[in-house]
Amino acid sequence: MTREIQRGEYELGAHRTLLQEFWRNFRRNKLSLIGGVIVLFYAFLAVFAPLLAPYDPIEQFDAPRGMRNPMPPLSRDVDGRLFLLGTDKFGRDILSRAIYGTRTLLQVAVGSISIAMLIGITMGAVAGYKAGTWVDELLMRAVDIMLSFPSLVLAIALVGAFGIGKIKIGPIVLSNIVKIMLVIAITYSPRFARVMRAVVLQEMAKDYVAAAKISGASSARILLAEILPNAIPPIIVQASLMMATTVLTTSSLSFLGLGLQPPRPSLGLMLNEARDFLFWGAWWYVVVPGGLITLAILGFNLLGDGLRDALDPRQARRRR
Amino acid sequence: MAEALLSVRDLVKHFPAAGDWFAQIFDRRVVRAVDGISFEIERGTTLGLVGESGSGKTTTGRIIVRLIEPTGGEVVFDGIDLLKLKGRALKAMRKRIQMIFQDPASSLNPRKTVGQIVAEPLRVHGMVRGRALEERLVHTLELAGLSARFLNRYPHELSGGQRQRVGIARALAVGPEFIVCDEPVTALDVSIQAQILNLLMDLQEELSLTYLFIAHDLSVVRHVSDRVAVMYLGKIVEIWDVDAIFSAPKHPYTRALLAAVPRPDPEAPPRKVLHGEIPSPIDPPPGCRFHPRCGRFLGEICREREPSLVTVDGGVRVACHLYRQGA
Repeated sequence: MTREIQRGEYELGAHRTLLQEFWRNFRRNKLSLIGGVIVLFYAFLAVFAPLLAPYDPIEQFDAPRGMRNPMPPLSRDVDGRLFLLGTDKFGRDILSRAIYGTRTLLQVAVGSISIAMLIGITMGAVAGYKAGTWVDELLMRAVDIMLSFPSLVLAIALVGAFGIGKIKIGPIVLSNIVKIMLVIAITYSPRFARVMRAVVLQEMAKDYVAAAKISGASSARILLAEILPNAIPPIIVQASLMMATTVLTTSSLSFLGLGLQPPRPSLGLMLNEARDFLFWGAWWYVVVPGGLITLAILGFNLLGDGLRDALDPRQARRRR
Repeated sequence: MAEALLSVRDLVKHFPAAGDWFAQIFDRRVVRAVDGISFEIERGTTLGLVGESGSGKTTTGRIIVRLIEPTGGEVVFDGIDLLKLKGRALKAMRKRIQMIFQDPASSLNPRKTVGQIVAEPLRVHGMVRGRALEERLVHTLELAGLSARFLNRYPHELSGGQRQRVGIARALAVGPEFIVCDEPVTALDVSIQAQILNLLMDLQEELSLTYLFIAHDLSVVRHVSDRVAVMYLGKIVEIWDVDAIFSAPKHPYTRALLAAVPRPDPEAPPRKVLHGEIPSPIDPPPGCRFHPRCGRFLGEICREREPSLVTVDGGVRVACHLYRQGA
């Protein structure tokens, strides 16, 4: 957000009206409301995972006599513990693993999108501000090169470059999960760079930027205090839509064994393990992680579409 | 006559015709937006700068407020060479020279309240803060004819006239001496135009402001200006006192412009209207730039020699071969 800390009651009241306007627009689209509810549900799962999960996600339980892991939903182990969604091949509770897996998934997605936004916004803002110069050219051609790779391929290549597991760069040790966030952030930062550059270019042509210059405002002040607030809506929309893609990429990396490493619960890894049991009829093993991934992608996409409609001024005006 | 507060000498601005730096390697043509203009504005007066779109009047205004770096020439403000100012000195000068923009929808940041917009120049210069800032804001808004209840409004909640008043308040906030008004009423309804023009004139009187008033509407210019400069394709073709230029225009272009002003009289004889478009400033006509459209074309000389501004009877300065010095 901007560095402009405002004083006086008048500004507080004013911000509320902008929010109210946004909410009025957003609320009209039922699908985006559904998306919002789905996203809230995931956020709830992620935040309260330790309270919601009935068992430790890596604890193994023994199947009763006459049964073997993976056990179907509503089975009980030798000690009579109930597994609502069954167990996996090591006898771990699928519900607990799914809840914790959702938590990790969202951690990675939110973390990598945040880093990607930071990198992308900076690149795009500089390129837009220096539009037409060699700086702009250099940054945007780099962005073009990165975008010319399919994102999953680029992510796999980056994991290959960094190596699997935690990495050491001099004295800094990055855990595996931070490394994955970085990989995905680098993969997706060009998209934010493009959005940001477009917004900066568009806003720079407006006279309020000229007015700020005439007032003697520095370039940094113009970018941060004048242009950035106008860039927030398209960036939020982009971030929300990118969350869906990131969820997919994270899960894909884990599925391929290049992402999160066992025994950490991860929806992608669960799918990978479940592959072997598909033809044995262990549907719950696939449906739970697969469904959670799909639903998350759907939710973020619906929310992103709704946000775009509500935040895009042209769209908003048409409805009014 | 009073001293000149602002004097512009041989101001030139050439924009590269090609888009980015790469294309410019191969295409070195330039757009001659402003091609050697000179004028002076006396303290407390208004110079109206008129011309068609593309004549370079907006570029001139933007050079004076240092939004655009000129290719050559000099702008002297109160004895200081404006174009040489840098860093802190330039920032200090920005308090003395402000600008009012054409389109208030674009000149006000849609994410900021009126209070934030008008406070911005004050904050940048660190002039006042806290309680004093709010008092100053209210005072500035009142100068522009707005009340304190507009402080927490957003631009989209205001009417066109109110928005332009906010733009005026922002320009006034730092207490400038000189304001470039770049077509300040063009985007407004006719009924609002007069209010804004009168406001600008009252402010001039009250705060002893000096204006460079850029417009293409002659009736507007006539209302506010003390002197008028007419621009055509980057050149000033005529500059004189407002009453004289309207009663006895010298340059054929000025005459054509004046003839084009609609008169509310159905019996009036048909107007002589200029034909054709303004030629491209990338490749302006040789000799007098107006000769392809001129109704008083003299032949050879107009096509070959560029007329310079000369002073003829009564002090009017005009660039036309019809008025050779002494003739």
